[in-house]
Amino acid sequence: MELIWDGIREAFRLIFTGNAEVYEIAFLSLAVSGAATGIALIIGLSIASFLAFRAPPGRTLALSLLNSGMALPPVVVGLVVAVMLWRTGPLGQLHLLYTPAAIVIAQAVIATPVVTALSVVALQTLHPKLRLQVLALGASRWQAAWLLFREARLPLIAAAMAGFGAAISEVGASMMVGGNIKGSTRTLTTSTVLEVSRGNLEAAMALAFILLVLVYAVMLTLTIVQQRRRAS
Amino acid sequence: MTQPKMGVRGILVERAGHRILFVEELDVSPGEVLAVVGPNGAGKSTLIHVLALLERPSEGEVLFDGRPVRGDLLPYRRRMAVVFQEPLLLDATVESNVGSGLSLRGVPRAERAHRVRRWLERFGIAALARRSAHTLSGGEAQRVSLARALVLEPEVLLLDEPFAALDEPTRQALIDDLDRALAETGTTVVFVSHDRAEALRLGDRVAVIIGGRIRQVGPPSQVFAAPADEEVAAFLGVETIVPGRISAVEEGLAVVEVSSCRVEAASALEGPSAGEVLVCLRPEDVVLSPAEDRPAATSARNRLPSVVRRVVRSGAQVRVELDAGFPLVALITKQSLEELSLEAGSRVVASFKATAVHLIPRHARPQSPSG
Amino acid sequence: MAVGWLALVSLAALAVLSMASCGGDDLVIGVSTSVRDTGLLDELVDEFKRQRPDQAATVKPVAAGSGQLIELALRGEVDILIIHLPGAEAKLIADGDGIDRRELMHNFFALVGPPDDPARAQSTLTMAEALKRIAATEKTFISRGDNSGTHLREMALWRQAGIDPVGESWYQESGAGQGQSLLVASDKGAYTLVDSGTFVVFQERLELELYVSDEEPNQYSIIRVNPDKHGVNEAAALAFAEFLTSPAGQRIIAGFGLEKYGEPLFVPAGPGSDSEPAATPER
Repeated sequence: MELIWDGIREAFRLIFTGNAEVYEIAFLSLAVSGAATGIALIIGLSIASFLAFRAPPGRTLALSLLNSGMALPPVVVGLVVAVMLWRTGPLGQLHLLYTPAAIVIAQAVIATPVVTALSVVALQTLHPKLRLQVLALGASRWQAAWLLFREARLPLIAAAMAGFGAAISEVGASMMVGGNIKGSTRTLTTSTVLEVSRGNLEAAMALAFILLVLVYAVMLTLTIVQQRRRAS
Repeated sequence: MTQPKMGVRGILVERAGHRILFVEELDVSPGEVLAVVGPNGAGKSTLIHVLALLERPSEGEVLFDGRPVRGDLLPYRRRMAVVFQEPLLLDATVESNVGSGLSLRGVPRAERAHRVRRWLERFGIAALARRSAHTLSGGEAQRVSLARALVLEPEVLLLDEPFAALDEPTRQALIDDLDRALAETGTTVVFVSHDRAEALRLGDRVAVIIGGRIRQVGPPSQVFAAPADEEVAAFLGVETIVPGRISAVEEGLAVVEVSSCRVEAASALEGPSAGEVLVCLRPEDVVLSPAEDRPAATSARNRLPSVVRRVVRSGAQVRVELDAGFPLVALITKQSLEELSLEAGSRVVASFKATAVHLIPRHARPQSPSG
Repeated sequence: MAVGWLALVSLAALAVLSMASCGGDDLVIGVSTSVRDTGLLDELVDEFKRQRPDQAATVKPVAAGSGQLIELALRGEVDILIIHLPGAEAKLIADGDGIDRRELMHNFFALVGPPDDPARAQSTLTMAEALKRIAATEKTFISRGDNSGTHLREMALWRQAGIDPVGESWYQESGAGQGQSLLVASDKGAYTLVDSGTFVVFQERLELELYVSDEEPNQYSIIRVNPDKHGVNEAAALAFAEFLTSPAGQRIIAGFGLEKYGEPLFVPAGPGSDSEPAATPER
């Protein structure tokens, strides 16, 4: 118990004394997981639109795969992405391993099935003919997509939140493809693990606390956006 | 004949190997209201989807202003509007729902507001402007949906069973409003319904679609008086439907001039006492008697000397098509047929009560080819 | 539509690529976890970046268990190793995958255990003897069990004692890192083998005492991956090796931990010890 209080006290100390390294780590975590969620949304929404509106044959198979993908272990993703990005791997020439970009890729792979599967469900809650009606109103494909996404924004924002949650809370893959390099690829989760293995449990607790606060701040913002028009 | 506003040629729609729709040729003239009627599952909605360019047929072409629709469909879609059975409103205010098509077309805010207000008033929903669309009743929502389509001032309006989900009083009121709006704008309309009365009420021409094929197209009186085949007849219910004109109304009894004849009708019509109407008569209400008979003291107000044109037996019943100065259909039993020994050319008197006559008002449409 | 999405996705891919710290001549340093966990690695890399700004943007130190490091070296995924696994090091050199082995620093392995010392390990003179007593009294012993340098040294010591502890009920494998294993041992009142540096870092929160020090030093070495055999960044690897064995690098090692723990965690090899090829220290 004492350790938790010490951790919270240490967290406040780190935050308010303007510890540059902690700010850098927190910012990187946000940027990397935000970018991964963004990529997951772009890919996820396009796949989800296709599956939900076009109802292609094999949709059930695709959905069951996506749902399994939601349980994809981050270390497995980390391992596969790392092997792909190895110097001797197929994408080795990009020199992406042990860079923030590698973490973005791994986290995007983790978040995409989550975002996609939940987006399919979100779009399926819309009336099946709403897409036709929107097109009949004279919407271009992009306008139609925008209107339909807006119409399903509640569950879609929930999908984005779940994706972001999966990305920022993940540690195994970030460790493996990022290498936890100081000043470059250290995220809140990987540095928490590091501080634990270094025996700096207060620091680890502090980083964990900062992570929770950050996640809460992001989710609060998204929830406000999500619920804004419900009240009226 | 003027160039058709819209049409299809050799349209074939297949789904999972089944022919859903096959239309060799169908045209709708500028300003005309074409009512497409048929039973559920006949392919009516698919026809609307094809016309609205929302579904690409496996074969065939859609014509717009006489030219085949090719390339980018968006410009064509923006010249049309579609109203579905469900209102399908967006989660926004009534105002922004009605304005949504305009804002998709980039119409400036001021003009948009002006046009939206006008159409909200026209459909009597101006008071709902700021309401959230999801709080509306079914009838209100469908009014919004119609306003949303008409505010676009489309060249072609496609209606897919827009009244099917509404209760009777709401439906009648909405049909009246739509009829007025269409008469004012002169929009070309393709209107799909499974309800014959709606088709008669709104359609300048009627197309009957059964099993994915257009079986018959023509003016309502012609289609209803002479169904092209058994299935069409079975769907329409053999009825006499002829255009007429109210010449006088006395003590709840309307005198309608039909061709050269006068028909008395007890139909309680609202609105103007004189005007164009459709005279509807169920064949089982028509009584036939020998021509030489003295007028018996019956309660039938209408007694019309007629000539038998055709006798069609179907089971225990016989459908007798007559010429009473206008096409008239009677349904009698086989026994009566034998007693009266009717055949083509026989002379009979057809009588029916004034209360059996149903009048459907029609607004004259200036551009309508039948008008 | 499809073209639009494709454009968006490739835009995202471009954004990702731009986050990569300019591809090309990166220097990947494979380093034993114990060196990273103490914090020494961060200090060494920071100083190296200060001294060699030409390499600064691309230094990628990657911590892993010694077994994994050897595997990465064999695949040419790292340019240089900081490792304490004498047997495997010699094999790496012999096979021609590693070159230019230099001794970097050392500390000692130590046997630590609960304060009441139920196996009476304190009165022994050698590791082997202490392990025999633990086995004889069947007191709990925590092994890393992860093929790390510490684990391999522990196995060698058991062999010296003539005991095969694997499978005994008192012999437990934590399967965790050095710090975690210490916490487990402390919690269970067990004995364990630890490198002196990690023990110093964790000492404060442990209920463990140091009883016997190993006769052999825990030797950390630098090995460069052979550029003739693997596509590695030879120039940067050489620069880093030179820096580590330079007086500046050795000074950092000598002073590391003094301020925080009151004693240094590692003993530097000292200038001039670099070119001496070390014989395999075991048996």
